[in-house]
Amino acid sequence: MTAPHPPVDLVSLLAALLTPIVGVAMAETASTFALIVLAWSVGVLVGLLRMPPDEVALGMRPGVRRVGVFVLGSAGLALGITVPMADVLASVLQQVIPAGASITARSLCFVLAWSVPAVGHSWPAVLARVLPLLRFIPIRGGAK
Amino acid sequence: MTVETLTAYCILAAWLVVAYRVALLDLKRTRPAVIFQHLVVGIALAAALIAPGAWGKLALSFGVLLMFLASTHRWPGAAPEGTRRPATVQFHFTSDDPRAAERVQAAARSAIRATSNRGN
Repeated sequence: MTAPHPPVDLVSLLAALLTPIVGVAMAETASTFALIVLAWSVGVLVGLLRMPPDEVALGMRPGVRRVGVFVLGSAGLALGITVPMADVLASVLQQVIPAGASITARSLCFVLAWSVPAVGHSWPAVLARVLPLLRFIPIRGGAK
Repeated sequence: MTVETLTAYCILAAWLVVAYRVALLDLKRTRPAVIFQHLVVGIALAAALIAPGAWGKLALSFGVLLMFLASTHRWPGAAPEGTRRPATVQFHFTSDDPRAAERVQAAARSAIRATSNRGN
């Protein structure tokens, strides 16, 4: 019998680091949101780098207000929708992917929190491509 | 205001400065090393804001180390072009004229100024 798999994900690492500060009871929650903030901050830099220079073309530099709106807006979205979207996506992937039983909502938090600001202005184009594919996903308890 | 709070504010302000600079960078004309430097410092600042205690210091110092290592090609053995100090020249001569040394030194200084990098 093999030894149990050690927790090697980032949430466990952050939980171990944050336990002395927030306590054992809150370590799991605090580490999840710490991971979301970390992923969001990395994604913001990528998203700002990918930001289309439409205002540069008009002879204006990207203003502090534009960057601030992007930073605060993406922070709100990342903090608000990452956990519920990770839950939904994990349950969908567990049904769709044959070996998807190991996919948990916790493992998707970093990717989702990163992608909210990193995809940034490209979200409408991404959704326009992804949404038509949803009809191929067998939704449990759907229309018969 | 505790030192920890002040540190958090400073890190947050520095991260916002990095984010604003990243927004101003032109991806097509910027060298990859410069983009790497900004991303590394931004990630390190974010990690330093989240990681507690000495781990935050480790993240920040590692990011700064990587940032400096990314620009070592500009320091092959001397300061980059345009930031170099002009070479110092020493004179050893004797003359009957007490003003001769000053005149020669002034001429040398103006010659060095004319041949060294302008705009610094």
